[in-house]
Amino acid sequence: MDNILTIRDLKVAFQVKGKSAYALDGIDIDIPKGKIVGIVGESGCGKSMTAMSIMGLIKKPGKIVGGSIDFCGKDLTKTGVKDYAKIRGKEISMIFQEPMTSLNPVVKVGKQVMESIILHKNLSKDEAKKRVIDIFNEVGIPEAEKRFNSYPHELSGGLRQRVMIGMAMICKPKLLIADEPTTALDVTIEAQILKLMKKLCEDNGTSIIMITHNMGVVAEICDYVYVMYAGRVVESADTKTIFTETSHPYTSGLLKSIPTIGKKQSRLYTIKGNVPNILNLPKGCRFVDRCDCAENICYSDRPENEFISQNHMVSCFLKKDIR
Amino acid sequence: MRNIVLRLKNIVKEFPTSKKNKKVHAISDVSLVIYENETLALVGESGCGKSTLGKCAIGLIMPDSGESIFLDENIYTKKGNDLKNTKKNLQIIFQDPYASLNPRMTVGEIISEPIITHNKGMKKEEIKSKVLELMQDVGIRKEYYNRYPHQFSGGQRQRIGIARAIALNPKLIVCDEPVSALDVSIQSQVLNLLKDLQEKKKASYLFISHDLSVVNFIADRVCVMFLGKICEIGNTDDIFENPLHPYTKLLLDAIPSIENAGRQKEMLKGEIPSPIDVPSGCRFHTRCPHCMDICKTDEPVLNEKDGRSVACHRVK
Repeated sequence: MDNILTIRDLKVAFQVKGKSAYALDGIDIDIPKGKIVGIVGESGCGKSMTAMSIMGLIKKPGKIVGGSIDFCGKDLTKTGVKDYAKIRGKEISMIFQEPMTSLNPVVKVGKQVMESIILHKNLSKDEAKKRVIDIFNEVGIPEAEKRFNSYPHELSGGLRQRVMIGMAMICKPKLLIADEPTTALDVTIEAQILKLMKKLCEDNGTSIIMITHNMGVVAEICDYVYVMYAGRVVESADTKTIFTETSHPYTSGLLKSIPTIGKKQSRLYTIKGNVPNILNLPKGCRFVDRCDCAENICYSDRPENEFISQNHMVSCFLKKDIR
Repeated sequence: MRNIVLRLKNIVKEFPTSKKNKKVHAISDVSLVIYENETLALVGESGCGKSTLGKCAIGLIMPDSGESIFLDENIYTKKGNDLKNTKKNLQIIFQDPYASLNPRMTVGEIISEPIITHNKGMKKEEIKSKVLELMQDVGIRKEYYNRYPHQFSGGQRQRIGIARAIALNPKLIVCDEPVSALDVSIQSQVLNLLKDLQEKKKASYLFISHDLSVVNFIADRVCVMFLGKICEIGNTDDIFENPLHPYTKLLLDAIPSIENAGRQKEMLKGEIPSPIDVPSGCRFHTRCPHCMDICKTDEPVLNEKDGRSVACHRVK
């Protein structure tokens, strides 16, 4: 299948007290054209860092120290600032978690959305305004013409997130990165936004990277899933396989710790302990201290990424179906 | 008959806006009871008044009218020492463990503060041993007694907040979204802890949450709110298996789930109306898929039947 984005052995390190802390330690990710790919994991596992690397937004003291990000034949890790400016917002765009902090509070939302299309497409103001109103209608903002002149604080959380999506989609990018786009929203609004994103993906052939910690969201809209833990991908597969043939103890722990509606549970499964500090990682497998089925080898050696079926990758010594 | 811990009667709370004749109708005439040793969940979308109601229940916000009756006495009319002694039994755990702990106090100071306030003259060693016991109860290591909040992760901070809330063995704890800021693996640890503590301390929880799967796990009864009113209240199993109010149905249907992924959903139309200009009749009628003429003009009352109450014209 055609991949729009291919990440190989990507490493991002931060210099902390003279030591290198690897926030991403050799990750491989493929994003097929027109598909929605989920990246899941707990805080600090490197989900957002992956997004920032693709966008070229890693800030000092962080740095990409190895690997490649291939986007339509271009290696983004070697792309300069000027060339990046032509890619960001036009070919790759991003939606953030908290729409209030990512919109400028003193600029009307219409004007903010217009900015990127004027910059990238050389349109006149009138044409640009027309396009903005079109995209507002497309993302389901009622009374689009009136809303063009609203300030962010006058809109609800759901509407603000729709503005963000409109802003990200206005140049019809090839890739959209959504970093927890529905975490700050109510379930009812979340359902509406997810439906909208799926529709935009189907209508425009845009690929979406969906960063989330909600397995329900993954099941609902993603085609492929990457599960990350402490800077590595521990398991990846198509969505159905991840849920039916879960093979990594971490993935299965995550799934088991979510309360299920319609099931009477007196206690919830818990993954013991906390996410390890990336400055002080266990020697062997990074999950070893929290794993229920760790064996001697897990403490000493680092598991390799292994494909157990065509598109099901697991990084674990115990590759049997552990569910 | 089970004993009632707290009874809320006709609570009304309005907040002023910058326009003189307009008000935010946060809570409009809500009554409910919380039984001994039970968990009552308050659910609903942002802005439906669930947090305001939680705070009114323990007197952190004074409602415009209504009563909150704890042990046969209205807490709103109490003053001085009488009020202080009542509040000992009514505690709260906040949503954001980063904002609810004083960054300049150590864990020991944070947890001992309520004990000192309510037990004047207690010996220092006695207080410390009590605090250490509480830290053990919530799973914080004793060595961390002199640490500051910033040295802990979100989950551990929430444990500190819980220790502070249970320090005085309260009868009722309002849990205002206690796990929504936490990762799933940590969320399950904290939920188990809350359940264990309830068994041990025999407290009641008023559990405010927008996450219905969490509510399904922890609550005995569920109260669904919409725009400052109760739509439906009943046992957790009944509500989840057989929701009667259209809003409850749509709310349950909207949850992204692993089991029912990809199914066709009935979407809730639009967003929650403004609590400043509340719709006439049934407050939900503008978004309801089964809206009738009567819904636009008459406000439905909460009808009780077999411990289950629903406010809808279609449910009789």
